[in-house]
Amino acid sequence: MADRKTYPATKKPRKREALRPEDMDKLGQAILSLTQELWAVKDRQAVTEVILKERGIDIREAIDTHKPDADLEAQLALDRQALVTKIVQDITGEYGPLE
Amino acid sequence: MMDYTLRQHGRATLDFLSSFSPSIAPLMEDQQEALDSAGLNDETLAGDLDERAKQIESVLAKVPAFRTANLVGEWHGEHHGRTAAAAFEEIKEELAPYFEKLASGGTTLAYEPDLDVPKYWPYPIHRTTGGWDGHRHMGFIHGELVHRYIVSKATKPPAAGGKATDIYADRKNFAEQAPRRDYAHVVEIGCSSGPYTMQLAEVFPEAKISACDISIAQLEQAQRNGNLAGHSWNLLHADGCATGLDDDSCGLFTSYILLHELPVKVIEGVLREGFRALESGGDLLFGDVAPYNALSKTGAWRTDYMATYGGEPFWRGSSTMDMVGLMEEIGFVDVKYEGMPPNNYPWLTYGRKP
Repeated sequence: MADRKTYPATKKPRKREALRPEDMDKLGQAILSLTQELWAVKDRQAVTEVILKERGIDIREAIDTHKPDADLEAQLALDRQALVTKIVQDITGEYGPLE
Repeated sequence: MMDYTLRQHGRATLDFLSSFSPSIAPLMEDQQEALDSAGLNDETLAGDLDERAKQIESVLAKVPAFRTANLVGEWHGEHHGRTAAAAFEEIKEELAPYFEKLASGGTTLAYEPDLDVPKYWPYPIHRTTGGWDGHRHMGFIHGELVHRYIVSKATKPPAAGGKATDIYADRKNFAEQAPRRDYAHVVEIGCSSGPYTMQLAEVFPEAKISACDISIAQLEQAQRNGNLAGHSWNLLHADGCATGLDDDSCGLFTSYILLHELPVKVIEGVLREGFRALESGGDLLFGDVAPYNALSKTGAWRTDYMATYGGEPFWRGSSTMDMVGLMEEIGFVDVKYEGMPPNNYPWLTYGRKP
């Protein structure tokens, strides 16, 4: 199947504008709501570590000082770069082709 | 305090709401710097509140700290009730039998199904979603969760010193300003979920305590709090302008942080009801926010601005009325209208029925 040729689209689709300047406040509200939920996740992480410690599994120091091995570092780098690329694409409004 | 355990998500999201205070203080300082640089102060600001607002807001509109504080204020205003309601939803099944148990006891609640709810009342005061009756269990949602997890961890408004607040100690301190300790019957109006009622019970342990509110949801929470503490309050589902109490039937007629939430005409109604219900020699004692003429012009603008967008549509009227003149006209004597040190908070309104 590797020798079959594909023909990805080369034309750009028509795009529309969504938010207007008057939507800026609502965007700000959404950022704060997301921050609240992010906090809930961080809080849960902290609580998880405490409860693990209470049950004899103290991993906090291990997490803090963990040095990813080459495999984990490679995976983290890929996932991290994918997240950054996504956000930067959103902010610039320019998206590349599917990889 | 009621015995319940919030779920992690509810607790964390409520805790988040109480984390804004330290971030707001520097924003306020930046705004004041901008006003100072623009030469806006008591000498240069207009006497008229609306003209003053134009002067100040035209400067602050260009200050990022002002826009940021407004964004945070808007988010907080919209979300505090929703966050607390969501936290309640997570534990409502286990609270149900507890609520049922606390509905019995010495503290009674006289529900009035045909209560004539005044037109001004259904307003989302404090921006709390749906107002005091915005949820069937708003008493717990606001009176317990919002008060305990958010309000009690906030700082006082700038005009009251901006320091950390202890809403329970403040109320006890105020109750102790009453001139006597031997009242046989103490009446509180606008008791909501009972935070001031609880302090009245502590300061006047021998008194019969009656307390009224228009919100049945808040009164139900007051009943839970009263029964939990072993008190025998007489809770009335009633308007503070028409309590239904007999003439000359109480020695102390009191409220805490209520007047700024009432239109001026309703304040007059409450004062007249107090005069009617008080026995001869009885005391009217209301604690509230400072009138605007006790604040700097900037402080008054700040308070007025926060009231306008913070769900307090009646604050300006109550803070600019001639309270002393009205009380004397009604017949009160020895009228006092003064701030409690050190920050003029709360503002004490006192009068005696001759």
